[in-house]
Amino acid sequence: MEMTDTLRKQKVWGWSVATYLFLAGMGAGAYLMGFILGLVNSEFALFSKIAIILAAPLMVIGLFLLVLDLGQKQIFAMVFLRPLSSWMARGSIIITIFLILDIIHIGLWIWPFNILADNAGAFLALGIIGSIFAVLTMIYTGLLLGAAKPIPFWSQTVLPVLFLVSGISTGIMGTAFILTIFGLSAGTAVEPALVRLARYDVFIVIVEAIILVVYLYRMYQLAEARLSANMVVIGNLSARFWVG
Amino acid sequence: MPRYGLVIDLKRCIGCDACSIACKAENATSRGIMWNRVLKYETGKYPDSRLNFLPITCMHCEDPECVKVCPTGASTKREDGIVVIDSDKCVGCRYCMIACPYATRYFFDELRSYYPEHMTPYEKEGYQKHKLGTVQKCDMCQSRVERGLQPACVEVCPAEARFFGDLDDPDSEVSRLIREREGFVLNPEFGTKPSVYYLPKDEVKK
Repeated sequence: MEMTDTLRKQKVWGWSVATYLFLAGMGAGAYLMGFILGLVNSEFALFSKIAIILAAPLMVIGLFLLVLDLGQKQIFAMVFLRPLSSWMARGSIIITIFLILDIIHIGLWIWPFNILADNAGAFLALGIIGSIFAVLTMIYTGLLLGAAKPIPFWSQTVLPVLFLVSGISTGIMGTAFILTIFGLSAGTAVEPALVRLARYDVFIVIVEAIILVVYLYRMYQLAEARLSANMVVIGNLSARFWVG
Repeated sequence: MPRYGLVIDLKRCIGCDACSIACKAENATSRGIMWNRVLKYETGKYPDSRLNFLPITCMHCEDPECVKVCPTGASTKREDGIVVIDSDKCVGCRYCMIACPYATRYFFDELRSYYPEHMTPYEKEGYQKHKLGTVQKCDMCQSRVERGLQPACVEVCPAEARFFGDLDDPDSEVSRLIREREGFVLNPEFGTKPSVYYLPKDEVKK
């Protein structure tokens, strides 16, 4: 044991990556739900706009944290070079394209660019492509963690689904939060719509909880992952799990 | 082209950590980073218990996960089978550390000297080889191997428990030992086909 005390616990991924996962999930979820809800119901026009705008700062902060996490920040663009290599490379490309699409989407509302896209068709096309990249942004992280074969807790097929549902749920709540604290919805047509949305979100959270229970239960059945599951539910990470 | 590999005889290993120290002396790794280490574990119950040793280093897999996932191409497998990291290309994303099933990669995020106030002349000189903010690991002493020498850990092992050689050559010592002593790799279920083989400790079953 005399050598092990000089062997430092290796730092792999920490709070900055975890925060990124949360922010990017929320941003992409907000964009996706903003676009879809804005499309199906005009009541959600303001919600849609705020959601799509909100995605940009969340993604910018998230991407900033990711670059910050690198050991060699000045050559971060190297990660784009080998898209076939892994979800690390593909994911970097996906999130960058998503951010650019979101910025274009917002930009097209602003004078003088709004004249470039005054027809609904352009927004529809942009929104559809943007939504595809939003979905990819939410699920790729699940696939990314799947590469960790020795950590069965991470290498599960339900993980991308869990991240997708979680992104949608936090995206809706993030947008609703912004609408509420800035009082943008008070006394307008948005308010009842928002109340209904909150009800939908409860439903999404329930779905998320069910996925989570299924996930943790399956993990509990796997001997190696039982340790991880225990750590999260009752062990030293439990406070972060339940509160977060 | 040879395919270099290591054979570690668990029956001969006495857990002295000379390999770990020789590795540090050769490669001047920073404090807290051990490209080679010796795990110690106990089997049996007192009074029939026994201390066992398991030296661990980069497995130089034939099918390395780390090389597959590296987004920049910094991790590569040389033709002679040695898995190396080009620190000029490494961005320090540490995805390889997540992907490696053997946890033999280290992130050099902080230069730590062995004495608190100052660096020894050796540290000053040796640490220049390493680039902060990149991932590093055992490179099977590639500079020594290129000079026709054995890796430092093999050369130093007082119990002669470590062997280095060409796994593709059926007449090499490593191939012979693997064949005759039923050499095995750790966790073959990960499917990465390690180039580091272990020879069983006959009388004690793990």
